[in-house]
Amino acid sequence: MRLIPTAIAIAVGLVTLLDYFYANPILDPIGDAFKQWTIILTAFALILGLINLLRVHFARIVRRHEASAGYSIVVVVTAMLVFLVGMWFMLPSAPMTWIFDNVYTPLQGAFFALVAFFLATAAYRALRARNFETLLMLFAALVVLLGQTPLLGVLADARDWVLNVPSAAGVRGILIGVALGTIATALRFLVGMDRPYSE
Amino acid sequence: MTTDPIGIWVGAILTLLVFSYLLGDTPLFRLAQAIFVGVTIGYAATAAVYLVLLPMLFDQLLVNPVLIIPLILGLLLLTKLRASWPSVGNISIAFLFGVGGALALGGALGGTLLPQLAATIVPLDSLENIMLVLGTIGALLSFRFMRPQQPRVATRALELIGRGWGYVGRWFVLVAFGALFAGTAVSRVSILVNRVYFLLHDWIQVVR
Repeated sequence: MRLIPTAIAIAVGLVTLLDYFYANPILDPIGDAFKQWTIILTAFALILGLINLLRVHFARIVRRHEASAGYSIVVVVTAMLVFLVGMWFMLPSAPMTWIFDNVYTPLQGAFFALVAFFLATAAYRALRARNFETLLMLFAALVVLLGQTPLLGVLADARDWVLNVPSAAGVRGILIGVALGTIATALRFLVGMDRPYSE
Repeated sequence: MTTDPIGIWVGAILTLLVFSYLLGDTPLFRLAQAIFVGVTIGYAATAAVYLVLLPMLFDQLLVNPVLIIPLILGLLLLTKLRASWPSVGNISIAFLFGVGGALALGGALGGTLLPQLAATIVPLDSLENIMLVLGTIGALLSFRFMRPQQPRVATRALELIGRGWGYVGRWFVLVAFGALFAGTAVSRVSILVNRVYFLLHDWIQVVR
């Protein structure tokens, strides 16, 4: 049973790769279809993940002795409610927009805002100048932070320099490393050396 | 920005539930977490149905019968819900990995690697450009964790140069981390200001 998924992954991957690099009247429609099917399959995968998440919470509700069972009830009820509203009124609709604007966006914003407090404590712990490298990181963070304040306009040039020279070099090195890693991993999939789908 | 009074009250209460975490891991915060997860699940499922499955699959199934293939692959994927069922869902996963791997390879090559390399090829006529080139190569070398099995003299010299260059490159990576940290801090503080402004301006209306 391992041979069929491997053969599918290699064949589909090579066709998509060829379509990516070459314009060909035969390959183009096949590549476009594969991409469209991937989007559809991703939606199925998303639904699979969401169903699995709900199953985990259902299991917690059934085993009532767990302390988090109450929160699981909230998760399941909220998910069902939003999904039913979405199915009934459709997605571009006033009720779904209301939920998005007044429930999802405030919660998301508040969770992100909470990170500001953790960043402050993390900065205090991590950026205490203990050695040269921490000092360097602290210096870069301070210049970029203070360079954005209008009171310290003199630091604006220093901030631009930090962002455009040493920081750009560091980020570029990281990006090139990530791209090389991605290419190596993708090649391992495409030649069948890594087969996570066969496990 | 919403002007609906009920919406403002709901948004404000949910914001306060989340901020209750500043007092500790309170039940109110966990309630907000549960609501957030539930709303996200419901919204994501609705989006998957209305933005992908209906317009790209079910609405076109009669017009384009080939779409039966992704439908079958999708249904095979859903068999993953039962661990006892045979691993037929692996075919769908293999398809996703095949196309995803090819697109990731093409995207990494054409979207990241080549543009970044092209941007690094600059004339070495200023201190900034020299720092940019040396820093980029050094940052890349700082992620090298391999060591030759039995180093010869020539490779050992190269190894020493690479290690030294990578050591300096690590400084560039740390400066980048510092700048990224500052950028993240600024964006998060902006969101915090936005939330506090919402509470003071829209909700209790003490700020005009």
